[in-house]
Order: sequence, then structure tokens, then C-alpha cells
Amino acid sequence: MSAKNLETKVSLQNLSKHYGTVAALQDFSLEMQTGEMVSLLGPSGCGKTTVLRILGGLDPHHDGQIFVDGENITGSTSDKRNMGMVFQAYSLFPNMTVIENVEYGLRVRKISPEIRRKKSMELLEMVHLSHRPDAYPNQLSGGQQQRVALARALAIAPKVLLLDEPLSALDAQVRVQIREEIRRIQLETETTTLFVTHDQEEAMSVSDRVGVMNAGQLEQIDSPSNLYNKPKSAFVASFVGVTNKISAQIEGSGRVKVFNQEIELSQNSASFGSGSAVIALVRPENIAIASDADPESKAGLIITKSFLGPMTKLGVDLGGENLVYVNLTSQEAKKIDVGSRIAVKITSEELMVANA
Amino acid sequence: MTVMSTNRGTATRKGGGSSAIFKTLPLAPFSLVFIFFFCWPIFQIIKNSISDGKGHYNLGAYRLMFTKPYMHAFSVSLQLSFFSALSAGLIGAIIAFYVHKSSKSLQSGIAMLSGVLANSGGVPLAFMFIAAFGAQGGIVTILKKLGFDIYGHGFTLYSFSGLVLVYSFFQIPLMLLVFTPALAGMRNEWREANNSLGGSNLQFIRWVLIPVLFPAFLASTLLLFASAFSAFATARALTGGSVALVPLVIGSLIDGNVITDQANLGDALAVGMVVVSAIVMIFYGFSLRWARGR
Repeated sequence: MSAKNLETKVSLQNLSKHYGTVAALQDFSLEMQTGEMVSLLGPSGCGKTTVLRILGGLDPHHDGQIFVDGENITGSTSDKRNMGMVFQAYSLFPNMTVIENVEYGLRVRKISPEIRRKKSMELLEMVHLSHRPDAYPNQLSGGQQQRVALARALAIAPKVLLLDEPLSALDAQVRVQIREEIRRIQLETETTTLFVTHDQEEAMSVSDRVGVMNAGQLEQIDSPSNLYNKPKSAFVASFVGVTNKISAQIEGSGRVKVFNQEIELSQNSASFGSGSAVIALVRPENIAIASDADPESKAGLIITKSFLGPMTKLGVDLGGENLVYVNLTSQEAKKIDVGSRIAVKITSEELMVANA
Repeated sequence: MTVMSTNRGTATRKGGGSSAIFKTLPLAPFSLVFIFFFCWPIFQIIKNSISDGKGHYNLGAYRLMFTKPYMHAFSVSLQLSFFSALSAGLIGAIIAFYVHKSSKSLQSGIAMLSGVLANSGGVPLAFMFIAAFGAQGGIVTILKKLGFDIYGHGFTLYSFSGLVLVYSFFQIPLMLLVFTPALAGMRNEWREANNSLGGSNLQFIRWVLIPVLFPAFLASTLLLFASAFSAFATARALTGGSVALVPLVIGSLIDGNVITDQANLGDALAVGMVVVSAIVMIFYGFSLRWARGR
């Protein structure tokens, strides 16, 4: 995101929504800057799609207010909000060709046929589909359909682009390709975008900021790297990326004892009394192979070995219920076989802990 | 190597062939029914329609079929089928639309009821309507007491408009049965995409809903047309032949009300009905393909 666009574009203030006694959203607030791409990530039913649909005016909410460009649009209907939306799949009008689909929003706005055709062709070029303007949706692949849906959403020059898991129905290779195209186009058009997904890699790779939601609340919103490296809650730490959960004990003065090591507690960890049994949350890359002779190391048995290309993931049984995963380069892992014993050690300087 | 490959290829083809025969074998009874109860009767009526019964063949019956009284019967049958199919199609489509939006339990209840009503017809249906809409029928009497004399306004159950009303009793449920699957294929995302692009509900109906549903509507209405065109017992029981419809004319010819030298006229009229039905079915097939292409 460029530095020139630091004014607030979207402000969601204290949104709440419930279905009967079940709260879908609780006091949810979010601010998005102009031209920013924000992703909402979270487990199924956490309320991320609800936020997007409320912002798009497709679902009502019970409390809270919505501002776009400083204007309160809380009471306005979806057709008055000027927000482009891309759905999971099957959203193209089947009776219209590709170009007619892209033109739809402009046709609604009574733009002259010449102008809307020119604008639509430009957008089709942007999504690399200018060679198929007369195809019908059922003649296109899933990826092509989603590109058309993106062009259609952008044709109206939306104030905010809403992407509701637009890649979830596509196969893995196409997903990566389309998500990169979405990001390229979003940066090119500087469109403020809210992207809802359950795929961490997708969210982390294309977004300026990622919000992690849990049970209708925003746990943390931050840059992808901060979210991964500096999680503010145990939920975020365990939800984002792979996290080892290791039995540990709180020592006095903000330290935690894991295996034979004493490590500083992360500032974001909840407070526990000295001697409390807790779970330490440790990233695989923060565990390294150590010498048996190291008094802080812990020996274990390798029970799994997964080749992941440049990296290899080892599953090490450390006894008790402690199964930890360690990431090694595939070169390092070459000499290590399943069934052999190794010693490991935690390398991070501070740890986050959760209730045991 | 080559020989072995060829042998293996042959074995595979043989296996595939016997598998194909095994797969199509269960269709054999249906094929027999189709041949003996569809193809054979059609062949017979075509043959009889050009035979004078004395071993000579001519087109006399067809020349007669194209004279005014019989063309009038075709005209009335086509008009009745058209108006009853169109009115039942429109009413049925609107009801189907609202049923589709209702609860699942109501939808299954309506589907079950429609299945029963769509197969109701004949003499019992005619008498039900006579009891309700006949000159002294219950509903007519109630309406008269309320100051609305429908018979005074020219309506009679034993007429063309009466038949349209009676046919709607089984055609509207039939429309519900055949049109509902098309509604189930409508995606909520289309309406939401329309709204987010700034479209009104009217624009959505005009530019998306109607064009998407039209092929299925047309196919369903053509099915109603075919159903009305071939209906016999209800019309016979209700009008006693006072409304000239092709099936009633054929019925009267079969009953023995045959003028000398016109024994094969009924067959010629039946062939005419087969041709009309075939044309309707061809359009029905095109409409279905159009609908499925969406």
C-alpha cells in the first residue's frame, strides 16, 4: 500500500449480530485505509463472512455503524452502496455472455453502450479474458468465471471490493494463480478490498493486513509477519501457522520452564501464577536439533518424516503427550531416519503460553 | 509383442461389448413396451388411415380430414390446449415461485398434493366441477347470493371457457411438478450480485430471472399443451361432445357413429394428433436443451 493513501476508507464500528441466542458478531470494529487489502481469517462460523455481507448490505445487523468515506451508510441498501462483490462461485448471470456480465453494473447505471463496452473490454484485458467476450459462463473454467466476476465487480469502480472466498471452489494451482492476479489488479486499481478466506496462506500472501476472527470477535489485526511472529493471543498463535503445544510450567518472575529450559514469557501471554501447569506454544522453526550433551536439550524418537521440497518436517516424540514438529532443510534431514533418536532444543527467546 | 498386444486389445473389446450388453439388458422390457404399445399402434393407424378396408390404399381419409368440420375440431383443440396451457402455466409458475420460497415441509406437502392432483381427471373430475361450477353448483350459488351471477355474465361450464377452468385443475399441479426443479436451480448469488451492482429487483426480474427461467417455462408449458391436447374423458363427460375437440371426434367415430366410407377417418385424425404431438415434443426437446444449457 502506498503512503499517500493513509486516510480511512471504511470504518466498521461496534457491529453486533445474533441468530436467536447465538452471537454471530460481538462488538466488531475494523478500520480500512484507502487502497488497502484486508483479509479476514478464522475458523468456520467465526463471523468473517457475516462482516463482509453486512458491509455489502446483503445482511442486516443489530447494532453498530458503518462509515465509508466518512459517510454513514448503515441504513442504505446494497444497491446504493456501490460495492463490488465476488462470491465463492456460480455468481455470473448464465443468460449473459462474458462481456454482458461485465457490462451489467454499467447498464444498470444507464451508461451508453459504446462507453460500457470499451470499459468492459479494458477490464477483460486486465483479467486476461479479452479473447472470450462472447463466451457464456458455462463455457468457461472455474478460474475464468472468477476472473469475469472480478472484472464485473470492478466495472462499477466500487468504493470497496468484497471478496467472499472467491478461490475456494478452484483447484490448488489455479488458486495460486488467481490470488496473485487479484492482488496485482487490486494494487493497479488501488481498490480498497476486504477479502474473506479460511486459507491462511492465501490471506498472508496477498494482504496488507490480516484480521483473525474467533467466535464473532476480532482477535488481532496486523501485518502478516506480525501476526505470525508476534501473535497477541494463544488463539492467534495456534490458529496462524503450525504451532507445537508443549507441556510447561510457569516459574517465578515471568519465565516458563519447558523441558529443561527456562525461557522468558511473551508480553502478550495471559498471566499465570508461579508453578501453574501451562501449554507452551512453539513454532517448528523455533525448535532446533541440539547435542545430547547440552543440559537444556531434550531427547526424543523420530516417528514421522515428511518431505516438503526444500524443507522436511520431522515429528519427534519427546515422551508424555509431547509430540513436536521440527522443520529442517531437506539437506540437513537427509541423514536422519524415522526410528532414530535426536535431541532438540527451543531457540526462541520468548514464548507464549496458554491454559493447560 | 504386437500379436500379444492385439490379443489383449481384442479381449478388452470383447469384455467391453458384453459389459455394454449387460448394462442395456434391463432396458429390454421397456423397449418391448415401446415397440408394441407405441410404435406398432402408430404404424397401424397410419396403415389403416390410408386403407379402405378392401385391400386398396388411398388418401381419401386425409382429404376428408382437411375439410372444414374436422379442421375446426383441430382448431378448437389447439386453441383449448394453448389457452389452458398458457393460463395454467402462468398461474402454476407464480405459485411454484412462492412455494419455492416457503418452508421445506410446505414444499414437500405441495409436491405430494400436486402429484395426486396432476393425475386426477376424467369423469370424477368433471362431476366435481359440475357440483361446484355447474348452473346449480355450490360455488355458483354462493356467488349468486353474493350478487355475482357468473352464468348471467355468459359463463357456462359446458363450454370452451369451462373446459379451460376444469383443465387447470390438473394442469396447475402438473406445472408445479415440472417447473419447480428449474426454480431450485436459481442461485441466490445472482440476486445478490444484481443488488451489489446497483440493480433493482425489477431489473433483476427483467434481465436475469425471466430470461433464465423462460426456457424451462416454455418446456413446462409445452408439456401442459400436450397433456391438454390429448385429454378426452374430462371433456367428454363435461360437454358430451358439444365442444368439437379432435379426441372427442375420434371417440365418436370409434363408438360406431361412422358415416359410410369414413371408417379410416378416425385413424387419419389420430395421425394428425400424432403429428401435432410430435411437433410439440420437438419444441419441448429444444426448450429442455436450452434450459439445461443455462
